[in-house]
Amino acid sequence: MTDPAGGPAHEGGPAGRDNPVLRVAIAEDALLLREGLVRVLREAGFEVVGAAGDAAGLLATVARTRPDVVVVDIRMPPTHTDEGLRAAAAIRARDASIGILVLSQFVEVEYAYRLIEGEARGLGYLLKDRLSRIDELTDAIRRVAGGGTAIDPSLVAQLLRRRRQRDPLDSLTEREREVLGLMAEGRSNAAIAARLVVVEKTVDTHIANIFSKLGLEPQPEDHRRVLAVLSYLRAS
Amino acid sequence: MTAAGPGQGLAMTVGRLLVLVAGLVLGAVSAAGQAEFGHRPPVIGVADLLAGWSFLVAGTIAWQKRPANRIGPLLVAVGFTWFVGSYGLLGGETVSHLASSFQGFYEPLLAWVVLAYPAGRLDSRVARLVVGAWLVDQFAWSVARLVLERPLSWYGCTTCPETVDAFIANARTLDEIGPVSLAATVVLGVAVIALLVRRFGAAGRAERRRLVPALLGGVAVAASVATTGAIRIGFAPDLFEDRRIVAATYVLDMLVAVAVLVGLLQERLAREAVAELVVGLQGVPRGGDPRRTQAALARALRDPDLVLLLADGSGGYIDADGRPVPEPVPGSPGRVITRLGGEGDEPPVGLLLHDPGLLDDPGLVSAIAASLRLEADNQRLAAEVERQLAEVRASRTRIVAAGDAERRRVERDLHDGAQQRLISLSMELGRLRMAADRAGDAALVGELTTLGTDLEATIGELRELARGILPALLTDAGLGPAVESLAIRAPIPVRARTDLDERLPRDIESTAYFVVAEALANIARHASAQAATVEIGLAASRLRVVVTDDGLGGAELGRGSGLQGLVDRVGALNGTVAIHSPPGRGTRLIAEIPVPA
Repeated sequence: MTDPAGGPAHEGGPAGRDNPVLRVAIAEDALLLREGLVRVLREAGFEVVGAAGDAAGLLATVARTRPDVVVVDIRMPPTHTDEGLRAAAAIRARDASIGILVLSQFVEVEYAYRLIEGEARGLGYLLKDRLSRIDELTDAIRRVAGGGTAIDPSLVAQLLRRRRQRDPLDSLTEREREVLGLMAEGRSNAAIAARLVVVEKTVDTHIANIFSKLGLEPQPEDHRRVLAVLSYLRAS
Repeated sequence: MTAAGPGQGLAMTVGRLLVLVAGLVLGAVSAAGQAEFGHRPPVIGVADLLAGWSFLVAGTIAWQKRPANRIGPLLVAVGFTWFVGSYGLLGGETVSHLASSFQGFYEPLLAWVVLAYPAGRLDSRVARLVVGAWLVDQFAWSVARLVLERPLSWYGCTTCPETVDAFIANARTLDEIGPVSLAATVVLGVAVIALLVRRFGAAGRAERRRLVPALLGGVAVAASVATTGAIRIGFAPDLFEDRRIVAATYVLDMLVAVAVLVGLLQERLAREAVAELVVGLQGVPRGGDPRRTQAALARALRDPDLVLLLADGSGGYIDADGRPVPEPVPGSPGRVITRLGGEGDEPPVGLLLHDPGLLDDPGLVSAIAASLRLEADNQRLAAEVERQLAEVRASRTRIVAAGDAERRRVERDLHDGAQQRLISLSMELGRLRMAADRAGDAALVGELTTLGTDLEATIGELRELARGILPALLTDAGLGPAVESLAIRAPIPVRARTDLDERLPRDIESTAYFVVAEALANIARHASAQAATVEIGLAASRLRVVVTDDGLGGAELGRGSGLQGLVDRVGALNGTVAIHSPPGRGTRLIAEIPVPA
């Protein structure tokens, strides 16, 4: 798939490649948006196996259809708080192989962190703003379907913008900050290399430097790395 | 109350004066007779006269100054009876016989004064018994003398031999009765002294000073009993011939009269009793212990039988133990009812049932009534202010809560309405852009991309607007995450530590959140700080929010700093905001909000 908006090349996992038709279940309480999502995802080549208006409906759909990925709004009836996160936890508890992409209207680190803090594999947190960039939405779905992690860039940007006293981030080069942000979004080394138009070995070097400057343990696995980096950035 | 009409008061005054003049004249006449016919030296006669007069004068003054106190009339009676013996020298045989029979009544009357001093009442049954018995004894002896000691002339002929036997028989009977009566008198005199000593022994120091006149009176009574007794049994028939002894007893009697009068006029509330009373009145009638007040009143007014009844607010009365009691009707003997408070049509705050003797001093009971009323008014006003304050507090809290509810509703409306619509629009825009891309229309893709970017910015602005109204995160996840989010977004480094185990009531969370938000905004605007910290914790049922920066300092509450809004908001939850901001040394803002258990 090409990237007309100049976004990252998609990096679907093995499941994405082996089985290009991903089965997706949707939960979104706003009817207009739900219909829009169904249409967009179908047009983008996904099989939408169900579209629910609340968490209970989603859990029923998931039990019935066993989708590859669930796209779920955080805030749904009845309490309009964090139903989506709780539904995600319930689904994962039953079947950890189902990828989950949580849609949020808010840029809140808390939500993203709560989503991935146990196990970041196959989880994603995307701002609803991102829905206009359909390619980024589909890219995120494919990534979580493949066991990757997808954290919204604006959330990472907010964390990188955060002011700190004696900020260790100041010791990073511009390029290293870029790499750090992409790591926080959950990108693989290959994807980072593709985005920055460098060879993967250069990315490896940057990452080693970043971890050493920040005093972090190197994390070979991408989803562990996301968690480590996010935790680091979240701490003041 | 006590204020008799002026005419009546005048009439009483005139009456007393007439009694006094009559007594003085009688005394003078009898003394003159004594001087004419008597065998005693004139100086003794004068002393006798002065002693009697002193009782008359002292009694009249006391009677006038403290009309309801019996001591005054009793003293007057002592004065009159004082001269009875001397009247015997005034006229013929019959008068002389009557007078000599009924002399000596001043002894039981003086005993009465001694035991009733200073209230004028005989408090104990024993005292009443002793005085009563003495009067009976004296009366019996007098009647015996009157009947048995008939002058010879009453028998028609002083020299008739046939009446001699009867006369002798009379004298013998009288001689047999005499010692019995005298023994009774002595026993009663001893009883008076004993009662006095017991009372003195039980009294405190202040009370003992008050009892000095009674003690003097007791000595006078004892001396009188001893001397007349000695004469009567013939032990020392010439006792009254000794000038020194006679003069001494008369001087003592004069002293008693003066001391009783002075003591009576000086009877005022003791300082300690007043202090006790003031203490006792605090918290009455609401909240305090009415029993304590009743006891304090009883002590201050020296009326142990005093009863305090308090209005129960519905027209009835309760006693000091809180039991409902029927409204007392005036007219029960020895008790009067004084209304406490309740001017005009207002019902009284209470009733005082007390001894009429207290009305001697009209100022006393009205002062008590006034202070009780004052206390009641004070408490009513305090309660009123407290009620209004509670109302204002409650309404302030309701306003804040209503404001928060409104914020929540607006935020929800934004989220469910405009935001979702804009997001669906932007998604449709995305679809169009993909279609244009597939169609190879690069110009259209470019325009749609620009449009999409604008739309994203709009959505972002709307989101921040909703966030400023009331962050969903606060409602969803609570104070800790919401404050952490504030810290992440702050333009300076902010270290936030929230130490809370559980969610707090909504209005407390939102208030604490806005304290932090406003404080951080203020720091960003004014403080030129390098860093700030936020600490939130719960201690002793109070949520404590502390925001500290290392900036310029000099911040003040309520000087257009936007902090006044915080003070109002926190105040609405009965919380407090304090600020420490020495110039050049940073600012520390401390908000404390009570958390209901």
